[in-house]
Amino acid sequence: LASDGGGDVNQEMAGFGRFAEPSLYILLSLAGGPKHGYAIMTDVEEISGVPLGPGTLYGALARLEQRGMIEALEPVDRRRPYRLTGLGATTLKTQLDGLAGFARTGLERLREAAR
Amino acid sequence: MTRLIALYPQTWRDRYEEEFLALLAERPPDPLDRVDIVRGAIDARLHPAPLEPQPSRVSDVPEGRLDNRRPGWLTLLGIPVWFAAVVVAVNGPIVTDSWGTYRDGTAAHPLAFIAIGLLLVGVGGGRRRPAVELAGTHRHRYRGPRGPAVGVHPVVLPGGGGPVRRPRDA
Repeated sequence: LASDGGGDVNQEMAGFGRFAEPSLYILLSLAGGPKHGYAIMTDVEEISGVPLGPGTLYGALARLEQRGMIEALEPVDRRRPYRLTGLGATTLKTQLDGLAGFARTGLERLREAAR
Repeated sequence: MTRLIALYPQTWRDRYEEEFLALLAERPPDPLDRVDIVRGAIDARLHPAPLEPQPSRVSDVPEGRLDNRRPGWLTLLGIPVWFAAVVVAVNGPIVTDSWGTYRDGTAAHPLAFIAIGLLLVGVGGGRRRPAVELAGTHRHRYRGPRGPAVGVHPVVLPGGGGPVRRPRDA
């Protein structure tokens, strides 16, 4: 997946501007199952250790929904859950593969420097 | 809180306001969250997303929506009126009185106020105007002239500036 259209996915995420990182956290959060806004906020805070502001959350949600990476479900008591789409899962996997490669390279270089 | 949400465009509010309010009810915003909400509103205005099913043709657009483009046209009309006011101001008579010698541009004030009124009509109309797009062209928004987009205008009132001092012997 990373090699097939991975560049497109990266370009797509780059178009998110300051919402790129929050969007990745949201995709990661929704990988665990559908969640509504407040549940995403608390989950992202647990994952990243950084609180996600409501304006940033909905800025990112709107972009992800617009690009078909997440989809809205029927609201329950005014709270609308979102779930990951196939495209969202592909995007998340591509991004995580990229980060894994980045971490692997960094760790290897640190090991070489320590010798 | 309602005042903060009112900063968002109408299309955004139609789509997200209910769940956004539910979120804020669960987690009351602190001052940083409020700043974040304002930033989100600015972003939503600068980068409006297509949030609703798109009409397939222009003729499918409800009439009221097309009417909402009128404030934008009025704003455009305000621009030449503004420049006309500037021309009148800079061609005003040279006056010498207790303030010194200066060019009197007060004759431009009526035009300037009309121009400001037209510009503000566009800005106000733009706040209420929902996004309208053609089907299949999400990246090319069909919106007509929009108040805020052309709302950047000179802030110096013609004829209202400071006196232009000239040498007495000039």
